[in-house]
Amino acid sequence: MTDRSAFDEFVNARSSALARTAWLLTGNHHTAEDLVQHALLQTARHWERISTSPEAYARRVMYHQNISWWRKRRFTETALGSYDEPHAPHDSDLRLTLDAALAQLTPKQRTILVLRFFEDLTEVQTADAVGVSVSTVKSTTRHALARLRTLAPDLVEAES
Amino acid sequence: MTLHDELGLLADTAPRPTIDHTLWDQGRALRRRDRLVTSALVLAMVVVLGGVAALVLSPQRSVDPADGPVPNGAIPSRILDVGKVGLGETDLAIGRASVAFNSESTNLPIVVGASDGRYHHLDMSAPLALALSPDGLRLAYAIPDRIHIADLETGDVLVFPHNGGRAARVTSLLWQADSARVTWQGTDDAGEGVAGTVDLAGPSEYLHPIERTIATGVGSPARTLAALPTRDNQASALFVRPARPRVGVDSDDEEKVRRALPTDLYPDGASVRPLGWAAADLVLAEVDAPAGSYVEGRHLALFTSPDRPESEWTYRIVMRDLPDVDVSIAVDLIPDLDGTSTQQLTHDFGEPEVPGDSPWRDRLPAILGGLAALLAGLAFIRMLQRQ
Repeated sequence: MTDRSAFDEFVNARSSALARTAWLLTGNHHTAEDLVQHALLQTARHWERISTSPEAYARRVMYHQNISWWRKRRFTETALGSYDEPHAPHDSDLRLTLDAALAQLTPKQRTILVLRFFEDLTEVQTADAVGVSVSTVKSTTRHALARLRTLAPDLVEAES
Repeated sequence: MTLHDELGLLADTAPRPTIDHTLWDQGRALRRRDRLVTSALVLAMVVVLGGVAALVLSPQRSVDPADGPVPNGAIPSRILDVGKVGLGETDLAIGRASVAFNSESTNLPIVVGASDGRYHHLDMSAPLALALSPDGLRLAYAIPDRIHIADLETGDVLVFPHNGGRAARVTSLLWQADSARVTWQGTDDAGEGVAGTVDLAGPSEYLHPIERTIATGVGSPARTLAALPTRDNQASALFVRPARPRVGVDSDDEEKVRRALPTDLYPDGASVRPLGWAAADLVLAEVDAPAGSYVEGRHLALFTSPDRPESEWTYRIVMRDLPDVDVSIAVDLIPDLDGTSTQQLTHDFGEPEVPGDSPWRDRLPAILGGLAALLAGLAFIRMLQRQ
């Protein structure tokens, strides 16, 4: 299998999964798509240098790039209802609340929350991905969850 | 339902991404650019390090004597009108010089260092006349109404109001053999020819009629003979011996004495312009020979004066292919021909080195600075790419 075909196979298989993470990180359709495109571009650029799996590399690129955009203020918070093609929620009231609650978090809080509770990264892995200390990850996680309790009490009940 | 599950359900609402199918090509293009940038960075680093190493490790340029030592300098084996490169020098403390002339291309003075052969372009108004003292330590030059005499060891300049302060347009300057007197010729405001001698040691100036040979001739060290210039192609060099014992005093009685030029070298004669006395009976002159001569064009020749018996006359070509300008030579730097000196008549200093003209040595700081800036720029581009 050539490098190009291997890359194409990877993109076909995992781009949707990457897009889900990107969506959670950004909350914006266009920004999420940009994030995925950027991650895949970098993966193609450094294909022969990737020692881990391409997906792990692409995700790492997404985490870093999201933080970089956020620091450059390129990432803009979007209002509720700006995303396209909303899927029918299992619990529609709770889902909207979660989406709206996430939008109320800071980009850093949102990113750490997604990495910890969706990507299931450890505190150390999260700290490395975001470029902060482990103690910052712990404190940010604590603050983000407290914020969610305030914004979405139903979620807190569901979590508990 | 846990937060993980809720996030998972929210993630399920993510739109399916539209992936650009040229991503692989774009990525590989970026990869190729990365390699070029890295190669350029490495190359620039190698060049910078190599240049620094060459600068630090290369031996300093030194004057290699042709034969034996040259403690007080030498006449270069070639004189080239190299033109002006870089800025002219304003500090005249350049040390003993061997040659001085007005550059035809820039009309600015060039003085050649006696010990290193370096060409010094002097940043000054174009002088009307220029003359280097026989010992190479003083430079006389005339800028409209003043004669300047520069001490090349200290850089001090004596500004002399010649012609008794009435000034005159100087057309020629000629040092006497003692390097303490310089004779000038020129025209006054009325257009009349005037001449005088500035004496740095004794009376400041004495004037004399333009017709006197002192005004045009170069006196021998003993002041018993004066070499005169000749025009047109003549078969001999011209000297005068005053009736009075010493040249340098206005003399009405003079005996013209001729020294025949070698006919095998100059079958059709030549023009001679004496530059100075290298010894008591040895004259250095600029000879201009017509086509068909053994040495055509302008060249330097050293020959014995008529004071030597004809059997002891000698004639040596010192330097060929003089530039088409009037040169002034520090004749004291020419060794005797009596076999007591191991020094050659001239010294090969190599290609004339002009301050600011070195192909890389003098420009190396600028080159290194440019490369450092290039490295910094490439590193900045690299940083942007990583972002």
